[in-house]
Amino acid sequence: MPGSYVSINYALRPAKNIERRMLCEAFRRLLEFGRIESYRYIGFGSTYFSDFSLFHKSLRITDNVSIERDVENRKRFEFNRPYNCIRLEFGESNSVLPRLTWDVRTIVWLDYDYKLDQGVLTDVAFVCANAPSGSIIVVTVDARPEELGKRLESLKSGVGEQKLPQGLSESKLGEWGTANVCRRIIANEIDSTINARNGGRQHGTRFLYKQIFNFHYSDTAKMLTVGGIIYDEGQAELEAKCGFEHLEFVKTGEEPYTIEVPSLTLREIRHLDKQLPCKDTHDLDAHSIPEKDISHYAQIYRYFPAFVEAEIG
Amino acid sequence: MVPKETNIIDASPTKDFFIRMLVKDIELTRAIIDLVDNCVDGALRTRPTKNYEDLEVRIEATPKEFRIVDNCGGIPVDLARIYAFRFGRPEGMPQIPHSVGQFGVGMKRALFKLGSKFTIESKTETSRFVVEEDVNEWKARKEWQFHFKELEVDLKNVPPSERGTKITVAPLQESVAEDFGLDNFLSRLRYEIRQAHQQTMDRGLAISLNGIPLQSHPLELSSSEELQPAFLEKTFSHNGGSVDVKVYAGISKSDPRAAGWYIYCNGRMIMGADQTFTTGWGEGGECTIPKYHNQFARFRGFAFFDSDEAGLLPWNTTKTGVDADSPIFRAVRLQMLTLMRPVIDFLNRLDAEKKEVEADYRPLNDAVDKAQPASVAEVRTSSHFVSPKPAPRPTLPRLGRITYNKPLDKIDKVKKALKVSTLKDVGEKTFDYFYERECED
Repeated sequence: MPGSYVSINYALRPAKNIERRMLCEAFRRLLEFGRIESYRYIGFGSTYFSDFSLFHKSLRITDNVSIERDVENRKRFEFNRPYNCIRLEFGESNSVLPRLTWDVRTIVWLDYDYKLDQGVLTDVAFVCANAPSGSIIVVTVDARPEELGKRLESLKSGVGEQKLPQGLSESKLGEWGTANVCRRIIANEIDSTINARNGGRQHGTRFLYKQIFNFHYSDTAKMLTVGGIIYDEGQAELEAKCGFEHLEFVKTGEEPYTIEVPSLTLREIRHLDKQLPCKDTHDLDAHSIPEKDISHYAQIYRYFPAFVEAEIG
Repeated sequence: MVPKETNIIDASPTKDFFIRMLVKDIELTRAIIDLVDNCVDGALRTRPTKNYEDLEVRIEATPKEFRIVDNCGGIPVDLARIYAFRFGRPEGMPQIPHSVGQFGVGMKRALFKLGSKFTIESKTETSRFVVEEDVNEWKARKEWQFHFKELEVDLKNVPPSERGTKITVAPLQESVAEDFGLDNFLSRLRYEIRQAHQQTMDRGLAISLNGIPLQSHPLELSSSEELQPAFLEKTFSHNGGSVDVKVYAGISKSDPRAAGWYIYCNGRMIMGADQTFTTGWGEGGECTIPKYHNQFARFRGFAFFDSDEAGLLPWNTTKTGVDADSPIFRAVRLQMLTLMRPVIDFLNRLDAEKKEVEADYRPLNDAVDKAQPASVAEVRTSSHFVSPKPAPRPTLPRLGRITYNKPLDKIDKVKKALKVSTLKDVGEKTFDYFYERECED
């Protein structure tokens, strides 16, 4: 089965691109727990490896594992591996995750291009059962609502009835409702796994999970990215020192951070950049740019990708 | 105001109710194993090093009488007086580190289950006592005490071979007497004792049933350079005590009845060949671990829980299963899932390979055949189950078949010249002969 890499060039999806840079900015703050370059990164690199390239270049992470289920096209993935420090592990993530060693602090981004299902929760549980203190888990799923009348059934068949929150209805799953419910289900899986893992651990040495990411964005489909940090109670002080809350896109609860991508020309971007950062976007010389676009841009300009059409070689 | 004397509601248990409740929850075989547990604790008291050479437990089970005799050190008088006959473990009772008796019901429950009259004779290095009780008479009495029939303290130099306990129960309950007359019951008892006390027997304790010694079958896992069981060791601190946990997951002989998880608490098996959700089968809607199926007949997992304080271990009171709510068990179960999954993946690949049409390339099955059984205590392990990686199939040259007929007398001459006996060899060798001379560079 070909992945979505066949139809989409990951690098060109602006919201995804912004999200990736925001994640990267947050990961930088992990240095309270240890040197960032000592972290391992586990992701689904596909053929583009955009996340791997960014994290290797920006964070100097050299221990990278890309999980690839498409064993048939092994050669193509190996050909596209951008750096020597990325190890490819072929197989389903369900199989690969438990066979990795988990003695290093790890950033795991389970970036699925499909909907939440039990397989996703299994991966989440494997990570939360094994990742050492100071590790990050991030999960992205397709959160498009199904058509009215099929939403509950589809979610139920995906994750199993006992994982559905109480009082769910078709209407609660419309628009971003599916994303909200998926976030709850993932958070539940994380919490219950961490609870089980804490069995027989003394107060003061128990593991905690704190959500730091809750992104909603939509390049073509509505997507949810949720994640956070797993740490030992004894290292709560380190977690506090990381100061994730100071990042404007960090969301620790139900409320999401929605990545809105303004449609701007390069000339407009340069015009706005010259005036940023600023306290109040109303004070900006907007020229003819719509106010909504300006305020969106002001929020994300540091992460905004610039695309230029170019013929190389 | 209700007058004081009428203010009291009697909630004390009747002995009869108490006994019936107590014996209801346990199978006969398990009750007998509880008595063996007491012998093992005796062995542990005398040999804290856990070397049980020369110690033995003899069980005689006939329709007339039940008897269990050991030379495991005997029950000290104080232990008998204050603790051993109490129902439930009194607070403040000194713990034997790593003991298997925990709940303070095992011996009494077994005695009540077996028959209506029992005698316990015990001799230690310095003391000796006999307790004899008719259960029906005891039931009729108001008080809960038992009495020493004979008691001697300050004995000198009782030789080690005489230090031990002898329990006799007769007459037996009717159903018990019937069971003891059945060969298949005795076989089951033999099997269950052997399973439960495998580890203790490995340490030298000899157990016999009706004169026949029980054989110890050490726990084994297949191992080789290519195949190595997963192993994890962890210490949990809980309520001021600690529990040491060792978990192994790997493969062994294909045997659907032996496949599954084995759980041990202080050396005593409490769950064997488990293939249920308790040990992870079917977890995560079968995404994490599938339900048990015979293609996993090679799977073996062992989880050993050891603690100085038996109360911290995740066993139920009949020692026939785990207390699935135990926080330590829940934490370990999570690790069991992680260790188990790669073994399950391997067994699925092994099964798929078996079903492939081309029979000549089976690296996984070959690896399994080559691996040797090794005892769990000595097996070479890895933090993860090690198995051959999925390797690309070597590309074999495409083959064609040549058939032709030639006169038999000529074929016989060629056979002689080639020193071969079959037609196939004649064809192949003559082809090779030509190829080497005319076609090879």
